Amino acid sequence: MSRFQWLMITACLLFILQNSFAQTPDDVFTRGNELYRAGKYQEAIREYDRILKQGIASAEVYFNLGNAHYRNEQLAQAILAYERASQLRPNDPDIEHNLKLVYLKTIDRLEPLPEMFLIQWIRTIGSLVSTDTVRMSFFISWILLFVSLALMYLVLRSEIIRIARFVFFASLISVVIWAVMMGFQTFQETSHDKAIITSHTVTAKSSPDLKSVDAFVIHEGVKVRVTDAVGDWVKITLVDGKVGWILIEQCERI
Amino acid sequence: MPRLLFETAGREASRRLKKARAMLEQGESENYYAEVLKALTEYLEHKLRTPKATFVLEDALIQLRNRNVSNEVIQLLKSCLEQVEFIRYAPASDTTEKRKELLDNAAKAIDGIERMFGKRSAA
Repeated sequence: MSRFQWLMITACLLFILQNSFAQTPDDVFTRGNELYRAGKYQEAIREYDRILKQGIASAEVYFNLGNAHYRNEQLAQAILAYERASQLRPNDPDIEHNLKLVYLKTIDRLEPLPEMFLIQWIRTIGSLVSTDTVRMSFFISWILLFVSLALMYLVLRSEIIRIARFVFFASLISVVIWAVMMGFQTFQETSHDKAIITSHTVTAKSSPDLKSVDAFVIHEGVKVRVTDAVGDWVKITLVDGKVGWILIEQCERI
Repeated sequence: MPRLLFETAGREASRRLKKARAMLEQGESENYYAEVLKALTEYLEHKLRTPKATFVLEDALIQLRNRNVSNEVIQLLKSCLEQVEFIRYAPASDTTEKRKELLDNAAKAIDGIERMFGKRSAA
């Protein structure tokens, strides 16, 4: 055997060995949880971060990371982790509970602007039913729509036609409703324009310039919407409608 | 609610027959027969969802039988259509009584089909 082949075999063996000794994300997660239980929050955070750095996005990991940050008194980081967990698994009661709890610890109390009633309705309904339910319902009404249409034009019995017409219009309406809700949920899931203020105190400027007039002051943990970015500056909109520019490192996107 | 031709066929046919009666009173015999023929054939086309191009009377009558329309009604319909055809080619046998009878028979036939079409037979 040539030297090259030997080299290849050793490389392969090394690769296999390395893989078998490498820790699976599950192991790291378990160790992180053990460290958390032992009160070593800093170390636990490091373990969780290692999993997330591998490109694994899991609601459980983010949730535990949020708990560890919370215990470690890193408010903004805790909120960030919970928000990410909530994005991966919307309407989870545990995540929502902890989020509410941690938001109570933030300094700012912002009064949300009133929303248009239609959007508010859709949001309420959208948060009551899960994405899977919406998708399934959309799919079923979509099929019903065409089945009833086919029945209407293929069957020669007036009673059946009458029923099929009713089903057709009912499923037409429900297809539209479910589609709107599906679009709304997808939009909320995929929009990454929300950010959390990570600096303790931030003075927002009225334009992306240090010399410009101060717009308002906010503190760590506030959830903002990022609407624009210029150089090192991002334009943020608060829930109460205030708009200002802050430095990009003062906040982190969810 | 929009209606299908299948559902409005009966109403459409009676509308045409009423028009035919008006023509009869005005003495337009040509138009009168054309209207009755149209009322009956269009009714069958819509009721059986057969395109005009492929409409054959014999097939239509068989289909009516398959959909539980009684033999008397089918015979009545057939005689009406035959009468229309016959008078077109032999106008001599045309009388006012016969025309009036034709109208009544056509209305009766359509009414009978409307009642029995697609329903379970009483027997």
